[in-house]
Order: sequence, then structure tokens, then C-alpha cells
Amino acid sequence: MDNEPQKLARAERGRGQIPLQVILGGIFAGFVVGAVLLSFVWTPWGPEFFDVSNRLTGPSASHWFGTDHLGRDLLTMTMLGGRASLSITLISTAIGAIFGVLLALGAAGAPPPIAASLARLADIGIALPSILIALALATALGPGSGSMIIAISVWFVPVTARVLIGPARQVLALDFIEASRSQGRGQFFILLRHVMPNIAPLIIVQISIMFGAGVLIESSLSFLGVGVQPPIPSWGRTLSEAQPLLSVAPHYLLLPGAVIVVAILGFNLLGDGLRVWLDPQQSRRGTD
Amino acid sequence: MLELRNLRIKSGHKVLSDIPTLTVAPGERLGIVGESGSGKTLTVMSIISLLPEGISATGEVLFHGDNLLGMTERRLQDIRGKRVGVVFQDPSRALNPTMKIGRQLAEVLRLHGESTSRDDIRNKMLKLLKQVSLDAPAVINSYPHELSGGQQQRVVIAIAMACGPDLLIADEPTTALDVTVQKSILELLLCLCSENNMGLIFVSHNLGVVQSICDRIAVMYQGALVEVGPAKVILGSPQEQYTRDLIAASPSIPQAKEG
Amino acid sequence: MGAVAFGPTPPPSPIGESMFRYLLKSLALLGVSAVLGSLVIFMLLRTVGGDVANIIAGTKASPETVNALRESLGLNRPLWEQYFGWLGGFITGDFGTSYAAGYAIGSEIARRVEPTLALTMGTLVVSIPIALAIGTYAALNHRRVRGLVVDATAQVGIGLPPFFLALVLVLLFSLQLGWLPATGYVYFADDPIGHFRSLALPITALSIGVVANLSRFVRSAMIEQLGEDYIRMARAKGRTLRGAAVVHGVRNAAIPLVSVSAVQVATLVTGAVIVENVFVLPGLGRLLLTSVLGREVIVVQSLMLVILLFILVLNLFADVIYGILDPRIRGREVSGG
Repeated sequence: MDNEPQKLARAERGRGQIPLQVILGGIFAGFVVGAVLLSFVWTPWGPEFFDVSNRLTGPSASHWFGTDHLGRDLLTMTMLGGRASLSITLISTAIGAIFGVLLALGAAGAPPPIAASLARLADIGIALPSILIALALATALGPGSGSMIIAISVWFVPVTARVLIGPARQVLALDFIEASRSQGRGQFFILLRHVMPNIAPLIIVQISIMFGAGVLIESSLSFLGVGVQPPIPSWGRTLSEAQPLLSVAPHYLLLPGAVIVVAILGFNLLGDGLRVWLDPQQSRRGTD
Repeated sequence: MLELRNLRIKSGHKVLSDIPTLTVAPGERLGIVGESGSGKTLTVMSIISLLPEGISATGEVLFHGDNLLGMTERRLQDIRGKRVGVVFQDPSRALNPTMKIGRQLAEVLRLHGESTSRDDIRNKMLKLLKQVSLDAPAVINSYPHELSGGQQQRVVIAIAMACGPDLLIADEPTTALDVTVQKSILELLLCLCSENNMGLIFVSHNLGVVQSICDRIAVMYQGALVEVGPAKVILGSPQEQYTRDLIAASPSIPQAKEG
Repeated sequence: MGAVAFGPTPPPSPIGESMFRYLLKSLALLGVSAVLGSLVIFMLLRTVGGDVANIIAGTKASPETVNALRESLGLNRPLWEQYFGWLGGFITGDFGTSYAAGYAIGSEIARRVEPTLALTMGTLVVSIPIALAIGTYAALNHRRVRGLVVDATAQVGIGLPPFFLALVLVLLFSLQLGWLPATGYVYFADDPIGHFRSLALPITALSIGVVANLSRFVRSAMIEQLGEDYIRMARAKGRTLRGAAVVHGVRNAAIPLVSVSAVQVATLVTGAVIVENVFVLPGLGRLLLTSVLGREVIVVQSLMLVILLFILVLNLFADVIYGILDPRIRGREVSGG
């Protein structure tokens, strides 16, 4: 009978109609992710194609985003560049989510003094500037996706854990947990089968927010030059190439930049909207 | 002095409280008794139009003949704090925890132009705090959390009375305090009201407390006025069943009313 | 009526005393964090990447050069000896020299403090009041369209990467309008007006992100405050809602704000690093990037510690402000509960 994870009544969750933020965020993020995924099958121009005589032209019918400093189609480069950003973000988010959840569950189930110190530790972890860690790693290991993933994950883990510890403890304090315990269920089982499904919506919200943050951090690092190196295209590096050419080719900055902004905005809106939709109680705080 | 006429308080379409008529004479002490949810707090807050968002009131609240309910916010601000004072339930929350007592007390004096010079204000504060039996200079420099519950509530009373209002509204002023402290606060209120000929509306769920200091008692239940009358009558020969139940349910507090 | 005069218990302690104790506690925390941080930085840079001499000298260097370098840097000594040697040098001001460019690291860092300081302080001075104002406005209007518009704008502000925003500002104000310089920094001592002009765009770029973030916190903290009893009481005294919010609410709303300051400071400093590089300001951030790209482990090591200390000092300021704003925090130290 205790095999079914107990879910809190729907009425308590307060699901209403889908908020605008979720729809907007979903469209924005979905659009960008879709375009990047599309790049695996098709791009407007071939990835190897370039025509130096046609460099730095503005948007046109044949080149929707115009061309870059080597005459390559900018839209193609943007779509390809998204691969690096999104995959690095995906991996970092996955690591952050998995370990963050484990940490949060562990801390929630631990006796209060340990839980409090773990929460304090998480607080310190949150204050770590992940870009600085990435720079340190890039010095030691060399620039590239490896150091970025490590640096971003190292920050994501405490961020996730911190957000989830409170709610996890709240769930643990509920009556049906007591009932489950009295039936002889161990802590591990309770955490996994009862607590986790109930904080699942919060985990999803956190994942969406981490995606937004991840893209922002990764593109910033790539812009600085410590991200994936040429010839692998990346969003940040495209913009750094655009910097010296601002006066002659503003589209080089604005169009790929807009794509980055739309992606980040999309994930952030999605996360915020999901939070409002799935957990109205907590959403009243309205903070990250 | 104060008359509520057809006061109806609504949240959207739901009627939360409906009072056909209720009066308070100058210097009179009226007690409003009822359990939680009876609408007593909303009724009393609507007198000065301090209702929470989404809740509105219709009808008339006649204060010295003027209807407070229709008034502009500007005019209401003149009346609040000056002609009508409010004592809230939980003094630890009614006082700003990050501001010194003196500043909070001076605030109401400055708002209504009672005094302008710093010395003037300070003297007034000393007088007020003495009236509520507090050691003035020390209290003025303290923060709320440095005072006990009873002391905090005395400060709140001092603030409410600072500009010499005609009417004092006390919303469960003793509920958040220790039982031993409640009595002294009640005595203080009684004293202040009779000395200054101040009207008092005392809201509480505790009939015994109300009975000890009020001349008249109004009983409310689920937003409706059940029974109103002189305290002796209400307690001695209650007309309504609910009133009878209420009397039966309260532990009796033998308190001879002070003249 | 006149009963016995009451007095508060315990007698209120003078602000100075409890503040002092609180300050001491915060300083101790700073010291511990600095030491821990230095350990992390050291381990990260000296152990993770393998042979440090190799990294610094680069792939093209001959084995002899690498060995010579290893000797001169003392990399053959045991790790803990290197660590304390580094810390010792740090405290005395001897940071060593850069391998590639040969400059004395210590003096180089000292030269670069001003631009970074000007940028970060300038951003804080600009952002905090604006964030408080916008957040309060959004809170007071949070059920009306105006409030939603403000909130939506803040959302967009958060999603803008600082480097993109900076470049857009350059495009607009430097290239199109020609009002402000696109790159470069003017020291205050050389030309005060030029100094501020060179900082205008960088500070704006950084501030927009900080304001967007902070104002959202202010808004939610303020909305919470507006539901508090003392706001009601202020209105019962005769204040307008806005007056109550400003006089009573802002101070109390700022308190939870300060508690998220640690993250904000980290975001601020990282943003500063990025902005310095976009605008080519000769500050710590620019030095950091060039050193990282040049794999100058020794430079990065000390530089990171300097930046860490900077972050910790900013956090200390935030703690102090927290103590000033909320007397209850201080009080706890004295009365013990």
C-alpha cells in the first residue's frame, strides 16, 4: 500500500491556468533550442562554406542574418554555435541537478545540526563566482569546455541544494511521512519515494533557471576567449568577433546577440512561470 | 459621536459583515465581542477605512456628523491619529522593529503638527510616556525588542493617544499579552479614557475582559450584530441564545467597574 | 492612575558597544574565509593542471628552460612550503614577477586597483538607490499594470548578458551618437571629467544588470513589508501608504536584501571583470584575463586572492550595513537571546 508515492492533493498545489510567462518562456526557449537542434540535420548554408568577397554584408534574402568576417552565413554560424552553449549548459545542469538534489535530500533527512551546517556550506557555495572559478581552471587546464563544465557545475550544485533543502524538510514533516515510517520504511526509501516526487516541480523550476544561468555564464566565458576554441563555433566567441566590427557591421553583434538574449530570457521566464504555476505558495516571495 | 449606519463590508460579492446600526456616545466605552471570523475587526477598521486590499465597505460611518466612508484619503489622514487613535493587537508587530521608540512616537506628533520644535516634542513625549506609566527617557532611546510586551503595548497606547483623540479603537489589545500583564493594560485604558473623556471601542473575543471595562456591549456573530445593550443588561438578562452561550463559555472575571 | 514607573529591561546598550562586537565577529569571519579561499585557489592552480612550470613556459619551451623556471619559482619544494612561501610573500607585498612580460606582479596589481574600484563602487552608488526606488514603486503598484510593466522590464534586464549589453551601449552611445568613449580609461588624477566620461558606459552596463536583479528583491521584500502591522499602524497615525512604505518599509525591506548580498557581490565582481575587458579598462579584470589566456599561473594565483579579498571586504560592508539597519542582530550579541 505504501508502494505508491503519496502526492499532495491537487487542490493544495493550486494549479490553475497556464501563466503567460510559461507560454512566452516556452516559445522563446523552444524556438532557440529547436533551431539549434535543427542544425544537426540542416542549416541554411553548409558549415564549411565561406565567401570572403561577400563578408560582413547585412541581412538579405539569401543570408537572413547576413555574413560574418569570413563571408560565412551568420545564421548558420549562430545555429552551430548554439550547440556548444546548449550542450555545455545541459551537462552542467544535469550534474548540478543530480548532485544538488542528492545533497538536498541528504541534508533534509539529516539531524538539524548537520542540516544547518550543510545549508551554511551551500550558502558559501552560492557566493562563489563561477566565472572566476572557470578562469582559474582555464589557467591550470587550458581553455575549453571541460573547465567550463566543472566551474558551472560546481556552482549549480549548492544553488540547487539550497533551494530544495527547505521544501524537502517541509515535506518530511508532514503526517504521511510519519505513517510511512511507522510501517517500517527506512529513511532512504522515504526520501526517494515520498519526498522527491513532491519536490519534483521545484526541481523542474530550478532546472529551467539553471539553463538560463548556464547559457549566460557560458556565453560570457566564450566571449572572453576561455570557452570552446576555434574552429568549434560558439555564441560568445561570435560576439567577440563582432566587437571590433561594430561600426561597419552592427548586425554581426545584434542578431546573434538577440538569439542569446531570447534563449536566456526564455529559460528564465519559463522557470519563473513554472514556479508560479506549480507552487503558488512559494511564488509569493517572487525571488530567485 | 460615532454612528455606523448600514455598514456592509464585502470582499468581491461575498458579504463579510452587515451592521444596520451601532452608536458610540462621547466618552462612552463600547465593547464588541465575537469569535474569530465574526467580522468585528473588519467593522472597526472600516471606521477609519483601513481595510485590506480587495475588501470594501458601503454605508455610513458618521463621526461628529461627517461620513468617514466617503471621504477623500487626504481628509481621512487628518482624522487618523488625530481624532481617532488605534491600538493594535500585537505590539511587537505594530511597532517598527528597526526604529527607536522615540522616533515612532514623535512621528504621530509631527504628522499632525502638534508640536514643531524638538524640545516641544520631547516634552510632549515625556508627558505621554508618563501617562502610560513608562520610564520616559530610557524608553525613548530604546528599540521595540528591548521592551517587554506590556511595555510595548503601553507605547502603542501612548502613540494612539498622543494627539488627544475623541475616540480610541482597541483591537484585541490584550490578547497577545501575558495574563498577568493584561489586567494592568486594562486598568490603564480605563483610566485614560475616563480621565480624558475619550470614547473607546474595545474589540475582543473574551467576554470577561470586555465586561470589565465597557459600559455597553455589542455581540457579533458571523458578520451580523446579534445583540447590543448596556453591559449589565447583556450579561444579566441576555436576549439571544448566542449571547447566552458566549456568557456560559467565558471564565468569569470578577471586576468591579470603576466609576 | 499613576502606577509604578516602568523601565525597560535590560537597559539599552549604547550602539557603539554592540556594533563593535558585531564588527569583530564579521572581521574574524573574513579572516577565516580569506585563508580558506587562499587554500582553494592555491590547490586549484598548483595541483589540478599538472606541472606548473610546463604550463607557464608553454609547449614550445625547451626542457632546460622549464627546469630553470621550476628552480627559480621554487616548484621543487614540498607543496605546503610553497603555499606558505606564497602567503608570506603576499603579506609582505612580494608577489613575484610575470614570466612572459617580466613585470613585477605586485606593483602591477597596485596600479590596476583604481579602475576596478572606481567601476564597482560607482556601480553600487548608482544601482542601490535606483533599485530601491524601482522596487518600492513596483511593490506599491504590484497589482496594477504599471507594476507589471516594471517587473517585466526587470525580467528582461536580468536576461541580458553584461557583455552584450555593454556592446549595444557602445554601438548606440559611442558609435552612433558619439557622446562617450568606446574604450579606454582616464585616471581621476589626470582629468576628472574625462575620468567620469570613460566610466559612464561601463557603469551603465554593469548597473542595468544589478538594478534589474536588486529591484526584484526589493519588490518582493517590500510587498511583504506592506502586509506588516507597523505599516498599518503608520497609516493609522495618518500617513499615506506611500509615506508609510518609504519611512518604515524601505529600511525593513532592505534587510532581506542584504542577506542576498553575497551573491550580488559575486555577480558584481564577475560582471566587472567582463565589462573591464569589453571597454579595455586597465583594471584587475583585464589583467586577469590576459594572464589566464597567457597561462600565467603565478600572476593568476595572487590576482585571484586579491579579487577574493575584494569580494570579502565588500561582503563585510554588507554585513556592517545589515548590523546598522537591524538593531535586533546587534542586540542578540549583547543580551544573549
